[in-house]
Amino acid sequence: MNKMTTLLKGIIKENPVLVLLLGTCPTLAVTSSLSSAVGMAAAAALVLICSNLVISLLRNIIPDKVRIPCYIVVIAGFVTVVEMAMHAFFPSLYDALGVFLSLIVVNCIILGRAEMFASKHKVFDSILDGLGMGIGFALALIAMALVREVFGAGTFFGMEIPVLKDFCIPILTTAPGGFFVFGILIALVNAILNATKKKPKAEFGCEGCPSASQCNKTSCDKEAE
Amino acid sequence: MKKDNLKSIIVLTTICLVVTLALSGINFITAPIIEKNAGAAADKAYIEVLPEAKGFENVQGTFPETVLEMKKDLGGSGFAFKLQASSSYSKSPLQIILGINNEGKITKLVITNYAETQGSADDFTPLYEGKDATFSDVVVSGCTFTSSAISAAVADAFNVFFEYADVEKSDDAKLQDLYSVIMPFGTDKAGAVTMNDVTLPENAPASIVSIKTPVTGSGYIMLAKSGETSLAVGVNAYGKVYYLSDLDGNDLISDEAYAQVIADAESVLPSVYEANNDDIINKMIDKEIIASASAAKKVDFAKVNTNVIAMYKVNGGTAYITKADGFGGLITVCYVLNDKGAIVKYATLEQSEQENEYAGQDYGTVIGFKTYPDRFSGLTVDTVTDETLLIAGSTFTTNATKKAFGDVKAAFEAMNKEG
Repeated sequence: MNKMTTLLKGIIKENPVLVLLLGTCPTLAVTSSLSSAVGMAAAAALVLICSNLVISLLRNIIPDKVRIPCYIVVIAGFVTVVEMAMHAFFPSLYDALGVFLSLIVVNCIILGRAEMFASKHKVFDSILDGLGMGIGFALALIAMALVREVFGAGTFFGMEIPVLKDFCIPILTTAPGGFFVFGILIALVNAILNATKKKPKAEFGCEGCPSASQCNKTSCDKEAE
Repeated sequence: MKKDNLKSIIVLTTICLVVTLALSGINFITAPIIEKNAGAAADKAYIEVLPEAKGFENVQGTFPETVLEMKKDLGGSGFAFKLQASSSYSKSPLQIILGINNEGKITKLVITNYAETQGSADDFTPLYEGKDATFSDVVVSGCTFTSSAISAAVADAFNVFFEYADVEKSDDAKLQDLYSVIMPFGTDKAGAVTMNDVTLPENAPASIVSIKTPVTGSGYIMLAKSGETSLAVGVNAYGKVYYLSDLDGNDLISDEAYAQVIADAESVLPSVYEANNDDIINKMIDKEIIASASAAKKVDFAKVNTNVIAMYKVNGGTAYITKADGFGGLITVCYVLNDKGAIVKYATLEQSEQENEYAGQDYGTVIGFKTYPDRFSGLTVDTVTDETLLIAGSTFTTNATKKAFGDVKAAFEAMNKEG
């Protein structure tokens, strides 16, 4: 797989949120405002890139038995660094993100990419993968937040939009509205991928898994046995 | 197997240690910034009332219940207070942030959780700006109890301010502390000793600095100066000085050195009695207390400290006239007592109490009815009870009539004591 493919696949074809359906919790929780969405995306992308880098560096040192605890320690370390830095230098964003900043530790995207890519590839490829997935995550969050804040609250980054402010759809800023927008975006991305014939085959089993190209396993059931 | 386990333990432990060290380093850098931000956020409310403040430090001390916190501006512009006030109409205590500058004047008052049924927080803020410790009459229409609760909290804040802020109280503020000593009877409808300013006459003696009168107008409190000494003077309704002290409350009335101050205080204004005499006589005739002006002989009560504004010898006994702060304004009442304290006659000389216009009830206006004096028939100053004076549904009017009766009883007892 060439470097450009590694970088670009995370943006649309294997978008972690809209195709792989990972990281749904922060996606729905922080996308009622654009500023929170951008903050969360930046934090998650930074953690993703840094954790991919370190885990790729240590891939030949970390024994298989303790790989998950080691990955978690590394990821939690980076999340804590981001948290402390945000608390010190961007306190209002820190307050806005609240508990979801800490929950980046258990974000499936980060642990998933660490397990599926960074632990099996070289450092530069892992960085590119982290960057691509981070950009894809950011785009998904920004797209969600754009719809929810502009049409749901009539504001853009907190600034009132003259006509929309009086004709907004408040339900979009609530949980049901969030799920609705999420579903619409997933359908839209799927439609684009189908039209361009880039969507992975919708089959059950390992062949149908969007991460099949990265995963070395032949069957998830075999591992369970 | 053992080798694998050992390797796993070493690798995991090493990773944990390295991460811990890295986090310690980051914490070392960010912790002071986070602490500073937290302090700035907490101080944001205080900055609003002291905008020139450079930062705050806590002032330690023993404060009354209403004063939760006192902060000193590190830049020296003044002090900020967090107060709480509660009235019988409050759902929960009001939280107030107050700023007082080094001159002892209020910079701003902000109520952070106003949820009363009447008025709004913004109604109170402009009323306090620029006021010093002698503030009074800060009432928002329709919010009497809330206004009183806030005033009490602000008064407590000033007391704490003068105790801990190393700022000298002004003479006016020290005199205000003596109001309840000099004229304990000078209370308004909320029960607070309240004084109103009186304009100094153009030809006032130099020794008289300022003059105040209570809501009931039953005398004067004056701030006087004799050399370097500031004095508190109490003048009764007959224009006689009955109280003289320094601003710490030390009695000086018998000190010959201040005889001139006493003379000046007694001559600066016409007495309350002289100002009201004609009006009172006419009203007494109108209410059939006396048949003519000649039927009332002035009783001079010299240096007695009471709230009555006039006393006359009339047919049947002594007429005591006093005023009290009712719902619609001052009520003026007249009790005629014989030398045993029996109530010979009663009349409400003046009142502007109000009916309940929604329920069509008489309420406070009852005291103006012809039948009202009947409730005192056969009673003495010792047998009148709260039940006698109660007017159902009219708290302020009832309180005013109780106050007026209490003042008359005090005057009767003082006169009997004086002989």
